[in-house]
Amino acid sequence: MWHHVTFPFANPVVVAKFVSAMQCDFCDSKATVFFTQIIDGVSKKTNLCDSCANEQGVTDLDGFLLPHIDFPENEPDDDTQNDLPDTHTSLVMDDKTCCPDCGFAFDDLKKTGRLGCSGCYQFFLAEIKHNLAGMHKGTSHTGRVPMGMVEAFQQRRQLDTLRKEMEEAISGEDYEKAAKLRDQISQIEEKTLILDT
Amino acid sequence: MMRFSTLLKHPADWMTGADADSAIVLTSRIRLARNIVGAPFPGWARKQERIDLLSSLREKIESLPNMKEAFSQELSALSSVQKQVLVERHLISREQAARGEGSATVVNRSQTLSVMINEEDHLRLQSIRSGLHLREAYDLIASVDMELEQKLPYAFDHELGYLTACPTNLGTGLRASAMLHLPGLVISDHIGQVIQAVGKLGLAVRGIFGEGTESLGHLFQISNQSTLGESEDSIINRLERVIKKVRDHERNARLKLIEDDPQMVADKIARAYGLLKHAYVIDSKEALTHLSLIRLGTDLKCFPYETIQLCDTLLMDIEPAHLQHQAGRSLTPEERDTNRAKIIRDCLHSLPNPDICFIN
Repeated sequence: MWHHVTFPFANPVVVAKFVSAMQCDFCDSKATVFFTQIIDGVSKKTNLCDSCANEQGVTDLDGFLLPHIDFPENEPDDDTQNDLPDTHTSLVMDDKTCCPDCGFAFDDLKKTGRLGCSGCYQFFLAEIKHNLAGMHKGTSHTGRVPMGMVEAFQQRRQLDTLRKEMEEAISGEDYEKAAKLRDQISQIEEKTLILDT
Repeated sequence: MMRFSTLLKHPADWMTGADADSAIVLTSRIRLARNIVGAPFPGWARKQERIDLLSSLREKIESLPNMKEAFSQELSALSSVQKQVLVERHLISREQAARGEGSATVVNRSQTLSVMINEEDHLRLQSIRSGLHLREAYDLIASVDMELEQKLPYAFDHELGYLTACPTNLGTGLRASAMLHLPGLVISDHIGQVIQAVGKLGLAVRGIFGEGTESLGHLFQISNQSTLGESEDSIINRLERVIKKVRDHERNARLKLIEDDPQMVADKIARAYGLLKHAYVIDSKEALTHLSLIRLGTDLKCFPYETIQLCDTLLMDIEPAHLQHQAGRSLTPEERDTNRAKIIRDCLHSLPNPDICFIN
């Protein structure tokens, strides 16, 4: 099973599927969970296998709220993870799932039709997107962009295109091209992050 | 800073139909919804969070060049009648009137621009013009928006556009609407078809007073429903095209009515005139229906042209909160009906007998 976990404060960073050769950062197993965490505008990527992901609480949404995750480079010899919660809620949204930014529950959206904060949109994106088509002419913004965000907006559009090309390259098994695109993408991603902060 | 009493004493030009072509399209309105990144939406924020955000937002709104000597009012400092008066003047929404601490409204001197702080969204920018002038209203609001976006970190997403408390406002956050007077289409029984046709184009039609096609005073609002996947220009252009179509239909319906059944039209207008001039007790339904006919009669040249302004001022002055504000106390429904009749009689006192010019 593949998990794509993105830290909810961040812009979604899709992790490519061709990284299947990657190893878990904690043990030698195959990594299946790719966790991008952005703290103070600095992006940190972690690759984990299923069992290490469970141990680290990465599949537990509440676990995201913890101020730190014990990364091996911080505490290389510490393998006691007792202070992390061991309840593992599913990543699939249930009604009691709450926005990590403001604590608004998905259940409340169903009741009131309104969200708790702008961060809720990242967090409940899949569920909201599902309903947008019936509500609006389209599902993608084509109107005005705030002046300070025009550059970032264009870069994001460019990223979308590159990601598509990369996926095509992967399915065409052109890994050399895919790797080049991946590097290009991460370069732009870094720039975008600087713009965001 | 403008006081509440000053604000009320001087209704905006757009409230009194000062525009030459407001016989059918009374007003055009543009509203933008904007939010601040990192702050919970007003409906979900704690009271203290709302109060803190309000003070920082209010200061920025008041310092806009457009808001020089503006009316700036916290909702918690207004009585319920005062709030209701602002609703009846379309300066704040019903939703905002229901709010107390941590919510404020700032209205510019000419009342063409108002900003609601901590309504459903952190900011609701609104501009109203008389007649069909959506573009003008949008230009004003866009310039204010561009000034604010330099000072405030708006919540914006490259895919979803401006992020709003309700997903129905995502994207542009823009709601454009116009208020139309459609007695011709109602009397000739074509309003249902028009509402259906406009609805098929993805626009909403609703009565200003009352519900559905039974709108009192024959007043309707047409607005866009979709805000995502379409640019501001395309939303406004589409709405404007449709409104012009409806306006033409109304114009034709009026002409056809006086051609097909001039006696019936004359009878309606003249009776409305007699009734309003001599009533001592009148409820708002009856008043709105007959004022609508005076308004129609004015467009058909039975009354001097300024009568349109007279009607539009009356439409506002006879609403419940306006009556109570004028009386300086709360009124029972019976007292309101008496006061309403008196205000109408006084106002129409010097209005000459209708000149039924369309019957030779």
